[in-house]
Amino acid sequence: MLHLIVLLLFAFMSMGASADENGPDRSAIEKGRYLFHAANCYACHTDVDKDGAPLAGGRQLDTEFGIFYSPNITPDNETGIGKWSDEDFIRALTRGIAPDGRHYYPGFPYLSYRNMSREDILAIKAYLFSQPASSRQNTPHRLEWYLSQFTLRIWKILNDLVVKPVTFDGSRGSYLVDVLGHCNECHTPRNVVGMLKMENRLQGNEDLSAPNISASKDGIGDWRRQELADLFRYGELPDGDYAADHMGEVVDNSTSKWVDEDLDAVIEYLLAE
Amino acid sequence: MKNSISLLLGLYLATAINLHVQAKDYESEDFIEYRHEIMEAIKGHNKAIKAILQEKVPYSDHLDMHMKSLEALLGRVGELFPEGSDFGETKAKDAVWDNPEKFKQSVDKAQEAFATFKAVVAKGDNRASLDAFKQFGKGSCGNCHKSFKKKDD
Repeated sequence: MLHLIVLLLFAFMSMGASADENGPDRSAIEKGRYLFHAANCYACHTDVDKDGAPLAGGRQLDTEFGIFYSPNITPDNETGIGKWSDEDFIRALTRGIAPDGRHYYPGFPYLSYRNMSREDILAIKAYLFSQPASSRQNTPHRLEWYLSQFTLRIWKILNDLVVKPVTFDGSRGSYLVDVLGHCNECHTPRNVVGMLKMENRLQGNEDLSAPNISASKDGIGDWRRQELADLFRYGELPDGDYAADHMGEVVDNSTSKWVDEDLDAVIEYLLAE
Repeated sequence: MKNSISLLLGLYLATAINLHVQAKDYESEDFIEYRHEIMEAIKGHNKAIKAILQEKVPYSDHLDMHMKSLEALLGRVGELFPEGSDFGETKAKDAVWDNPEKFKQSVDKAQEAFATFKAVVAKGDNRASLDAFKQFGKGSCGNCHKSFKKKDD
């Protein structure tokens, strides 16, 4: 009899587990929340200056190629990503292709995200789908005349053929710096057509006023570990100033939320480069 | 009647001269430089406070002086960005003048962050004060620079 009760209890618990699997997976959402911050999705996909709804896009990004407006990534079925499947989301993050086949411009850092694990990508998706939907319509980009889906596809083919891919050495530090944090996108210089010059990785991009953060004398080679920790945690720079503009946002939305182990891994990685 | 006209004329001239002086000041690079120097002074006191709290220098009796100076300077930051002063070589973003209410909120927040920090310092626990200093920096200078200061060239 006791065996029967235990068996029934176990079956009941298993049924409960199955039901959970069909609903939101809390652990994936929590994991996704951390990864979402590490990947700094909030800053680009929220129009903070105009008090826009979180993740509803519309943030204006001024570049030499025109003005980009980030898209709505809330789970709204019509204006956001509510209808996206897992495979749609993975393809967007790793190949820069939307569910309808359109290609994303490289302002979206899929060239860095392409090394993200499938499990992590889906955890981010789970987190995004747990957030409130916004019906904000996407704003079309205002780009230079020569930019189109056609030229973008040629750019992507050439980029894959000619340019060294964004580095990822398999370490946690590299995963946070090169993949999730997509630091190369701003801190690595680009050529005239906007391709990353990976041979000069992390050596700064003057066009974006992004400094050299390589472990050289011109970069952060002379920084102490504590100085890097204070920058990532509090935005404090060694000269007593504080990180401004985009880097201030990176600190606020992303690096200040790293757990201690990740902070250590990033410092280790950056100073060893 | 003659006295009234003289009074009105006097008031008009005084107002005109005052406006002229303000406009002249706003057009001057001295104005920007003054603002910059105030910011540098804030940075200097910040660094000094940190060095004292880290016990890198033997001047713990200077802490009160730096705290009072920093408090006074932070209380004046809002005055340094009046309407019409968005000119010249400045690191301030247009958002300062495009969205003055938001900027004021940010300045107010910096002063609140200082008050919190000051309360911790008053208890005399050096370790806690150093931790509070870091939170103060993030919530004051860091918070304002994020939205209202351009990156260095």
